[in-house]
Amino acid sequence: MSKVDWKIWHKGIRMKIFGKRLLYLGFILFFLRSGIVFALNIYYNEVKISQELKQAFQKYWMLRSKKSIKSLLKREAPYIQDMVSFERYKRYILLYKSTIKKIEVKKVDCPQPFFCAIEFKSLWGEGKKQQIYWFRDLWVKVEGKWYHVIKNPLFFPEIN
Amino acid sequence: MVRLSKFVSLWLGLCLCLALSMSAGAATLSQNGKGDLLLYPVYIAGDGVKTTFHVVNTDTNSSVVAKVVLRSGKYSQEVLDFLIYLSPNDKFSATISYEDGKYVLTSTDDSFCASDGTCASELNPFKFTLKEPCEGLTNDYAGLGYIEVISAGSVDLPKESDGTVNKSDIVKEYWNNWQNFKTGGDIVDSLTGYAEVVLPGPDYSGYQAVAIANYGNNNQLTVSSETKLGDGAITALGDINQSGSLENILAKNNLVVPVSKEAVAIPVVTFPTKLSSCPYLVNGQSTVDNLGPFFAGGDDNTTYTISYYDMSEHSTIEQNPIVSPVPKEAPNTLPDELNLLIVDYPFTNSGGWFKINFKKDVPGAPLVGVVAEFTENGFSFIPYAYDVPQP
Repeated sequence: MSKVDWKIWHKGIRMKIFGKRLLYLGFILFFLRSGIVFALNIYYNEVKISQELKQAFQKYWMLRSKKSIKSLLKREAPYIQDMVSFERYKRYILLYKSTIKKIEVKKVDCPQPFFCAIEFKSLWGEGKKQQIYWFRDLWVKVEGKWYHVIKNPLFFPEIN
Repeated sequence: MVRLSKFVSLWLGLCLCLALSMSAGAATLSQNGKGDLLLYPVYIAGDGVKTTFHVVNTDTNSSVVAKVVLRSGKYSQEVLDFLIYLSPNDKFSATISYEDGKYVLTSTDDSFCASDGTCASELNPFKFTLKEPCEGLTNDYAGLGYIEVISAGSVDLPKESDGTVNKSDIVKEYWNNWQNFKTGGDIVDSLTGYAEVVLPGPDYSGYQAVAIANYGNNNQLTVSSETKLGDGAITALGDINQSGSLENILAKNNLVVPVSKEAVAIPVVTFPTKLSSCPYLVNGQSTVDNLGPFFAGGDDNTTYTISYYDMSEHSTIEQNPIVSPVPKEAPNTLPDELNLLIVDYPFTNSGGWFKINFKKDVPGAPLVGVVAEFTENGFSFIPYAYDVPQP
């Protein structure tokens, strides 16, 4: 192989390797962004829940696990969005320092077609600091869309 | 017949007057954090939040039996009560949380014993469901409330070879030999306490319980009947002008609430002497009875105004702000036993402080409380600075 041929061949190999690395990096970034790698696992254990509510619930808690505050606030009930400033909501979300890892839905109770309570057990944190917390998550349907209702008497006494 | 001189008669009369004026008892707000009555202004459970509270017996010789009472935030309803048996230098802990559809109290502490001497342990945790206040017919609920710890009595018992007192001995002595317990003004003022509100993180903030010394319970306390503050004690519920009464020693005014830059400060104001009943209908009108003399006659007893102060201009504004909870009637009132205020503080860019003033026929209100402050660094409970109302 001539010197020039070798250079071209060598460059080609380097481009190939670089290209592959770029591709792998792309995949990693895609998985990270999509949340698949650090996904929150939600189990329904054959609990009956409407598809719309299920999607809203999953989306909310996925965003909560990533602490996507702006997107989360848009999913709170409209009257909560009016009452609560972004800064206060942000403080509230950031209070929960560890990450939610797993949700097991135990019960869905809808006393009205537009109002449901989802009872679930959740696992937060990693390793030795993992802790279990139970939630009674409230949801309200407004103009065909399900919204989350915060219930935290210390931080949002006016909503409570 | 012996005739007393005018001087002696006058002196005796004076002593008698003094004795009568002190008949409410000589309870004091403890300056060292120890007493025989502890008040925890707030517990919260739910939305991932738990509250763990602790009671410490600091006496090195006396065992103390105390009654723990959890009360709901709106109508002061008893949601759980139990006895704890504290040996010398002992500590009791329990956690209030939301679990599987109900509010529960859990403890593995061996100071938590049944009357048969069975005590909680790691292998045998005690878990009790908190009762729904007012039978679930109101918007009061067991997940938000306050706690009372009342010393029933104290006793000195023989120690084991390791210097500790056997728990079952304390339990047996309490139920079989109550007459051996020191009561009233003789109970040791040895209890101190604190609570931690815990969030997933885990992160927590704690506060110290308010301690009253020389509260002086006289009767053997049980869980078969409700114990209200002032029942069977040398200290009366009072009224706010009666020296040594509970309402008098808890009276405060001009609560100082510091606000850091960009922080959210939520004053917690609890009225432990209010002791409301569940609302009932009289002639179609919902009405509530309040046991505490300060609160007799309705909610207008707890009217307040707020003055704001900022960092840079030192300016002050006094107004009747729109706050939560929404006042039942103008001017602003605090309608519940336990009140959490959201105040529209105008100087969030710089921070500063504000002052809560209570106005009624008498200055001040009988309360306990803390400020819950949320900053970008986390949250903390800050005790109030305040004025003690002068008679």
